[in-house]
Amino acid sequence: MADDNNKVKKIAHILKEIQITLLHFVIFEALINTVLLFLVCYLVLILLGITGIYAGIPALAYLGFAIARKLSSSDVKQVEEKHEILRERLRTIRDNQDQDNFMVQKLVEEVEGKLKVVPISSFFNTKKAVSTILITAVLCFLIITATIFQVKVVDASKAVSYLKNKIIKTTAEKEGSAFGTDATYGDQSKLLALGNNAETITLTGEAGEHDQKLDDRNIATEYPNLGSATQNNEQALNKDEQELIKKYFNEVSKRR
Amino acid sequence: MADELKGNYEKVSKTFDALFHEMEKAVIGQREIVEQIVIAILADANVLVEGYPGLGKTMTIKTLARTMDLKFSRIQHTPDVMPSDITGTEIIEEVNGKRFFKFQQGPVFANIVLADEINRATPKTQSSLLEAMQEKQVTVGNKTYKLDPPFFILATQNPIEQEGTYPLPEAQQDRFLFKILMGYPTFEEEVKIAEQYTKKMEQPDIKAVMNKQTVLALQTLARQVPISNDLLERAVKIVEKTRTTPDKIEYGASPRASIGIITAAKARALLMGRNHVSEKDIEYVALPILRHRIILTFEAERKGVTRDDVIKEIVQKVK
Repeated sequence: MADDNNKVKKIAHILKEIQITLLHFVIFEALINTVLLFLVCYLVLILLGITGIYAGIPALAYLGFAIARKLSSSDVKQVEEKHEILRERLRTIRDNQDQDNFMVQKLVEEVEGKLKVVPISSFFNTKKAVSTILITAVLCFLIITATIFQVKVVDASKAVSYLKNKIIKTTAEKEGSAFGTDATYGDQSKLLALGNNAETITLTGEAGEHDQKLDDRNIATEYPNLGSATQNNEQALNKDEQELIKKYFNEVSKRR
Repeated sequence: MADELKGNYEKVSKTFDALFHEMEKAVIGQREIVEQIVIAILADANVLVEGYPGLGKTMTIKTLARTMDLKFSRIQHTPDVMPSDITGTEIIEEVNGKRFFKFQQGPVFANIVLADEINRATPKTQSSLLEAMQEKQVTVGNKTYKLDPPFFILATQNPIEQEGTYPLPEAQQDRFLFKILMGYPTFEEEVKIAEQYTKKMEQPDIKAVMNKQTVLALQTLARQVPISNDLLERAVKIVEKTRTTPDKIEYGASPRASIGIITAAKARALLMGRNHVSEKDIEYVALPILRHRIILTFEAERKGVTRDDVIKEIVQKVK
């Protein structure tokens, strides 16, 4: 009786080992294919003049999908498909592990014997692995060549840049960006350009002179028109600029 | 022998080989029929055989009883057969001047019973036999008598000469595990039959290869044959499909058919010397189990579609 229990436990252990071994092969195969896909996408992107790092997106997506798909399929069935001598037996053992009767014991003994002649290497597709490695080597060579000689089929970088800006603009319009919109500030690209470069701003005119402290100066004599400065300043600005400023303050007040 | 079988699995398949070898001495051809009858015995169930007269139905079951060393009895049904003719009755016996009732067992008190032309018996007589099949017991008056296990009924029906018969209703046919259609032998087989049975007056010498205890042990072993969940579900799907094909099947099979398919598949696996159920077992037993449990639509019958065609199509489609 103890021997029989040990046999059933042994089969449970063997099934688990099969599962782990198959998992290793699944991950290995998925990784090789992911690398291959990454290299293909990388090559295509650099030929299009686009940064190759974006090739990581489809590669990672494929990796997740491939592993999930392989894991969802029955591991025991995969073993049975490769080895006719184990056909239907492994599944029967797996589904009847908790039963301890004469017939199950005999089946366990039979499967135990048959599993001994099943080599682990039978799950590894050597031909496919070698061909994948060769293709990978060729792709690496092509990528290096294309990078050195800066080979480009089409320069799609401008199109990608335009697309990126369009997406940002659309997102900003939908969410109401802190930087406002074209209606508030005029052309956004100038604002962004301002942020990227160091600019020296020189303030000139009445608003810029702060050589003396204000309390030491006679504001009324030096700035006789200060009371109506806003009005004067407004009149000094053209209509478009006035509209722009009004819209800006409207936007700010809305946010408050 | 029963203990030997448990300890040595290989002896099981050798036992069946010996059984078929002995059967072939008396029954020429009809290997598939014999296999199906043995499967039904292993599944502790009963069989309905439909075939023309003179095909060897009685010979087959009689020879089988001899190889299994089981008590055999035959009931020839006619419209005037009463239930008491089958189950037995109480008779008055006198001993030392005292009279008392004694129960006289009927022909149903055997291990293998041949109920010939069951469709000629009245529904009342049919029902007494059906109680024996289902409950493995017989009720006479207010007393119940258990039948000696193993108990197996092989009922026969003649597909011709249907006048004055009482066809078994579908609800009662459902109690038979298999409905076997017995056909004519091939030309070569018929030549052998004619040669063998015209040479000698004596019947062939059939040896018993097992006994009652062995049969009971084999029935227990058959139940223990493991089946994978995939195949279990496939069997149930096949039966379910008979209920969801309204264009061809008006009434499908019940869950009793699902139980029957799985039990019979296990028995067949044991008969074939396997210690697990294979999908071929399911496909093999599905036909004789389902053919008497479905009713085709009028449209299907009008087109000439047979029950066997529909069942084969379902078994092919359901994977």
